[in-house]
Amino acid sequence: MIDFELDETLQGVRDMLHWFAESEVRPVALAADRAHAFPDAFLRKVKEMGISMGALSRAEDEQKQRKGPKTVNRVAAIASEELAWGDGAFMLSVPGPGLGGPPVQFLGTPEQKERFFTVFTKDAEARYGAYGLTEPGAGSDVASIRTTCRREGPDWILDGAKCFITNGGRAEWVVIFATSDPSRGREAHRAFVVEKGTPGFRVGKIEKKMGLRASETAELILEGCRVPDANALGTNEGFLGAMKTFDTTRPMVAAMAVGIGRAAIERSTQFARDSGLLKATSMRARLIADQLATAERKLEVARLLTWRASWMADEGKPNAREASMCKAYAAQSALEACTVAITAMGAAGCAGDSLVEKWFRDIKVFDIFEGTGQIQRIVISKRLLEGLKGF
Amino acid sequence: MAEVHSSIRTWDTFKSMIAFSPEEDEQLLVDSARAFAQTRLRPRLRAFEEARGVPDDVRRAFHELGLVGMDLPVELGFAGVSLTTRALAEEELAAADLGACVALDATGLAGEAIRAGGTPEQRKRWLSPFLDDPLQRAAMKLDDAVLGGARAQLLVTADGSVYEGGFTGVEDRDVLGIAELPPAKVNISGAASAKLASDGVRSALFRYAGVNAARAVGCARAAFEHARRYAEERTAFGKPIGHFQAIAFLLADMAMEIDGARLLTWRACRALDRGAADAERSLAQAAAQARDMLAFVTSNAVQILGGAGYVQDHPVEKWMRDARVLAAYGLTADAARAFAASGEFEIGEVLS
Repeated sequence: MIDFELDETLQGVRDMLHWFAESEVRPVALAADRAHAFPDAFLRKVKEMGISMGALSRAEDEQKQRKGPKTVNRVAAIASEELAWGDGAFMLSVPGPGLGGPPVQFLGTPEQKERFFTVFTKDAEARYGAYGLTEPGAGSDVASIRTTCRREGPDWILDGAKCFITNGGRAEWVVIFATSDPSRGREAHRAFVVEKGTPGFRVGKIEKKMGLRASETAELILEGCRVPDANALGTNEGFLGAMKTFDTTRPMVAAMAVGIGRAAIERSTQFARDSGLLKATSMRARLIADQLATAERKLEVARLLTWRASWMADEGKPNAREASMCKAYAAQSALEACTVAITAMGAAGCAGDSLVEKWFRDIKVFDIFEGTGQIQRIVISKRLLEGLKGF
Repeated sequence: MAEVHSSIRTWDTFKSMIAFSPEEDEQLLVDSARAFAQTRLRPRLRAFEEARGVPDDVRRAFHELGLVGMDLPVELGFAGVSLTTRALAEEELAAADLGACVALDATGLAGEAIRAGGTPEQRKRWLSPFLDDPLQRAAMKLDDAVLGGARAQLLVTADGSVYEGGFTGVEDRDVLGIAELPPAKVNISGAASAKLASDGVRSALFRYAGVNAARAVGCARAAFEHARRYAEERTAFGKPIGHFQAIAFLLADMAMEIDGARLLTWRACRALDRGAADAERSLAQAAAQARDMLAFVTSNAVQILGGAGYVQDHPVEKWMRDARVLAAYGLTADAARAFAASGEFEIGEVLS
């Protein structure tokens, strides 16, 4: 079946999230941006409502048990777009395991999943998981990470530093990727769940950023950090785990970008309508109308590419290429949408109390985190040029 | 990765759902269209261009497969497939030879106008002959250049007038692309037989925009695939040129644009099949997207082949020329953009 319709149930989910994004998130978004955080009480309320970040993997298990068709990735794409429409930084601040969820799900034993996921449901507090891959010397080139792990009796000793870790400072645990031998590249990678308060593990600086300011971005330092073997995920599957994570998270990030781009186009189209620009016949007015419509069209393409990658994930089809495509395309088209939006609104768009100004700052990082646009193109072209050796 | 986790337990209750795989019968049609296109059209692409026409034996074979007017009404005896299904088949035909694909569409835009704007009797009278006669042709005159105009027995004009004769076409021998259908100047001397309902031509332009968007995707796919293989084989500076990111990233962008335009086309065709309120806007979006994409992909396919792409040993130069003709045929790229931006549409915009 080729179909793009949401049934009533899913429309209901979308409408509910849209209502929440509009009436609860939007009103606090600017203040949170300025305060560099959402208020704790607000985050507890989010948790109470049952909106969770990264519980995807748990929902997947539940769905499997009930033998229903797998739809979690598509539902997550719809949900991500709606919530990011409300606010991108909010999406990253939604309590839950976050990006740390998928590697625990893919690589963890049933006992590990039980142990690390129940921390999020045990009480009413907003609690987070995090994903620690990036290092000062290894961003896109993840095979070059230098954080080391070595066995010492029943434990592992981790040494190194991680940077740009979303929710890293407040996380209950962080999935840390490390290498047992830096000279052996990917095959020596291992993943560990490092819990808050582990000796030798501390939080460094909290970054000040161009956008997504209400989302916490932390530096993490590991100095002789002692982690029990029970916290090691998988065997030598660290790199695989890191990469497999992206097949489901990249479409979510793409959906978020579409949500932000859509917000910007809606706001500036309304501005153009209110100021009579949409109906005016001047050359500038026609140009703006075309730019807004073109940006909207490209967002629609991005949304469809995202839905396709999510559908493939649900169907269990390998989707690395399609996941990278939607991420690259969505980041690019959403950035274009925000640029067109802020330009169409002129000085009003640049004002600090204009959400468009915030979205313009927020959106840029979507072409950087979860793999830059260039990394996505490497992933895509590798899978297009399969006849090339050593590419 | 947000989802509604504990408060809404509805995972098993979704009825219809976003999905991207053709049904079994659609896949059968796609397979047979592909087999026909790859064996009967692609090998003779340059011969068709040279002869300025698709020969009658190919027309007969195409007719025999039931592909002529495949989405015309079942009541008249046609296959009556959905527009979405037709889009899947058109992509396969255009992926072999865009020129032949357009030429073989004997009912074309004119047939769509008759379907949309004709009375049941008019439809039967003008469309039924296509069921029996594989050489029957209809042409649509939107402006001076009329694709297929020199060979048609039936002519529909922009105001919905239908001519069963009383017109003659003069072929233009020197044309940019889509060789089989050289634009002809049509001189009308007789009187129109009838006039279609006023919105017939308009509806036809939108519906046909979906068909043409699917063709653009097919042609782009062919050009991309040719360039991709070339990049794996052609060596420069000691290695296949696909190893250079200037080429590899361009191929990645081409693939992304093709997939994106295909999905937007499917979405627009589905919207029309369902009778959705936003179908026209969606079709205009698909038309604009597909044609921008086709220009980008065919031009860069030539670029990746370099000098080899510019000469006629490879088909990419033809596809780049064909692409520009497709963009001027039916709902033009400019009109589609204007409609998507303003929601306004005048047939005059298509013509100028």
